[in-house]
Amino acid sequence: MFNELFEILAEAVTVRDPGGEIVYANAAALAYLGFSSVEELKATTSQSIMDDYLVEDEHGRPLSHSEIPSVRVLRGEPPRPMLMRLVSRSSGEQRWTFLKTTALRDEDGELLGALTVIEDVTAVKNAEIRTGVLAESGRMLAADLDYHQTLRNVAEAAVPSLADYCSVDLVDEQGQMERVAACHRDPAEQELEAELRELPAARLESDHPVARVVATGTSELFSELTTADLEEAARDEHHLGILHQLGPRSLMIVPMRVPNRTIGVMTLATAASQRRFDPQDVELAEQLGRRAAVAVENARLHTKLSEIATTLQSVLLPRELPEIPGWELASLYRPAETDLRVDVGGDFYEFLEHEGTWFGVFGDVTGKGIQAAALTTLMRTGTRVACRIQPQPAAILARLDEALSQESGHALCTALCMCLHRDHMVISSAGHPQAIIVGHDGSLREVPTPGPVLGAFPDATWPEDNVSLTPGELIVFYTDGVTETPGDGGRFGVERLREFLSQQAGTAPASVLNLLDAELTEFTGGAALTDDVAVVALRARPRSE
Amino acid sequence: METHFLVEARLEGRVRVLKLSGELDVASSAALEQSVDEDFDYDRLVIDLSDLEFIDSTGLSVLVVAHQQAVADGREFCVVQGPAQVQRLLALTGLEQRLTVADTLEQLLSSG
Repeated sequence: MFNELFEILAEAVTVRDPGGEIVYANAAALAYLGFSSVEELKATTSQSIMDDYLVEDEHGRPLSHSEIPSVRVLRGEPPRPMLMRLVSRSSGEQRWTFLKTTALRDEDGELLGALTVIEDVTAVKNAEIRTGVLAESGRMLAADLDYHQTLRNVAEAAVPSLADYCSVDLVDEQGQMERVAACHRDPAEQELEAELRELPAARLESDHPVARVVATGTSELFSELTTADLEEAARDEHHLGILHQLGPRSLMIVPMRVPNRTIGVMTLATAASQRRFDPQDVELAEQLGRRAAVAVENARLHTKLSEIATTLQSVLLPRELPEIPGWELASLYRPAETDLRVDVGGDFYEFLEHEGTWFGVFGDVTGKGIQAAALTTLMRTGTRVACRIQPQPAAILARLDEALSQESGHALCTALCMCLHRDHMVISSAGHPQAIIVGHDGSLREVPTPGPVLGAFPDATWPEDNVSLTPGELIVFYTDGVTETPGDGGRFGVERLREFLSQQAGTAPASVLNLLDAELTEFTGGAALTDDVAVVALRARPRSE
Repeated sequence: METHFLVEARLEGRVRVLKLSGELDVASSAALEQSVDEDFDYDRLVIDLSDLEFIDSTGLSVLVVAHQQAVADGREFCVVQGPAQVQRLLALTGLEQRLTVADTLEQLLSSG
């Protein structure tokens, strides 16, 4: 009756006698173990059945015959279920098996045998591995913008769940293949892993499978590698020696694709685990390849952007202040920190000489970063051109307004334009915070009369003010980044700036700005600047100099 | 420092009112741009600055663009004056002289 019951069960069931030999197996068990009848099974020892497989526990530790649950139970040990991985030595097929064994006893408690239920959990386990590999790779890909490290992480995510070893090759800027990462499952094989990492990548112009995968963007699977395959892949004797040491059984090469092109390949192989890759493994590896490709592409773009930014920065940043006869000058320039590693902003200044007279423009293009910085070059070069056409502050502002209005994007610009004379300045304002003059006694004056912001009104004109400055008086130009700097106690504000400046009578411009920089840093508590900060301070030298 | 910004939009007959509160700066100006761009049928756009605590030059440029757009569309553009800092910047940049600025929202609703 039990026999009949077992026969219709989907689970595979075997019974061993106290001596350890299998005396019964239902139809499902026979099918699972690959036998056509119980008689055929009985004629085979369970040790020899096991010898057909590479048997490991779920952590990859080899299991011996004496450790399997039925043998343990027959030895009188408590029944403990076991998850094991079986890889057929002949076919390379991998199965995950869950074994549960119960002791069979008679009424007197005498051991009659061991009943084992064999459950095939391959599908469940594969799905779990798949989820695990993808989740781990996702975490690793997100972690780092250094793509060499990222690819080492990806290789590590694939080993050992998916492959015994893995290498990653990228097509570099010169169109050559470059090996960037390698990982081997066996920690004892550090040297071999290093050899694998040092192996030259295949040449793209060759007919090496790696070159084919790069050219076609299609994966290649060698489910059972032959010695001939290895010889063909090897560049020389040394290379072949390493390949033999690695001892791959099954190998797949998957492309790392971004839209339109393949930027590299991942090579994954099994060796000691004896597994043979199947199309599902290829599909999982391809997913890993796609993710890695996107990470590499992002990291490369980021690097490129940083390089461009560094180049631009040298063009976009205000130049060092020139030496202007009769004047002491100093500047403070701190662009807002953005997430682009681009240290440029919308604040700008430019001082130039035209036919023996010095002109200056000091301003702030709305917005931040590259876009604003690009417009500052328009304002700076525009000043140089405008100065040649009509060297007067209000006229220069009018030309800058015209230039800015022709730009799309509705950028506005506030600016102060000045012409420096021996004992006075002519200053014109386009919506810019007023400059602050610090008198000899610390009294403050704010100049000039406000005029309309640049880029806003089609019919605007700008007033000009004559501002007298005696030697030793300090005039400070600043952008709203200074007064709008946020800190714990609200914004820095004009009042705090005035209060600070009123104590700077008689101090040299460079010292004043150093002190102001420290003041701002203290105010923000060292936090990153959210807006650009620019300050220029001038002081007329005494006549005798 | 935590900043906040809010736009309350409503339609009063043929007048569209955008009441701003909080701080209008680089970080928040996109929110106002979006509200201005929303397509409604009206004759007059009123930006109410009376509860606006802070405005910077980027915020200002949104007002300028909204003004230019309204003029191009044949609509009136008005603002209700804001607190001292806001008014100072409007005056400094020449916007105060070029925009229709009212003391209260009521004036702009009744004169429509």
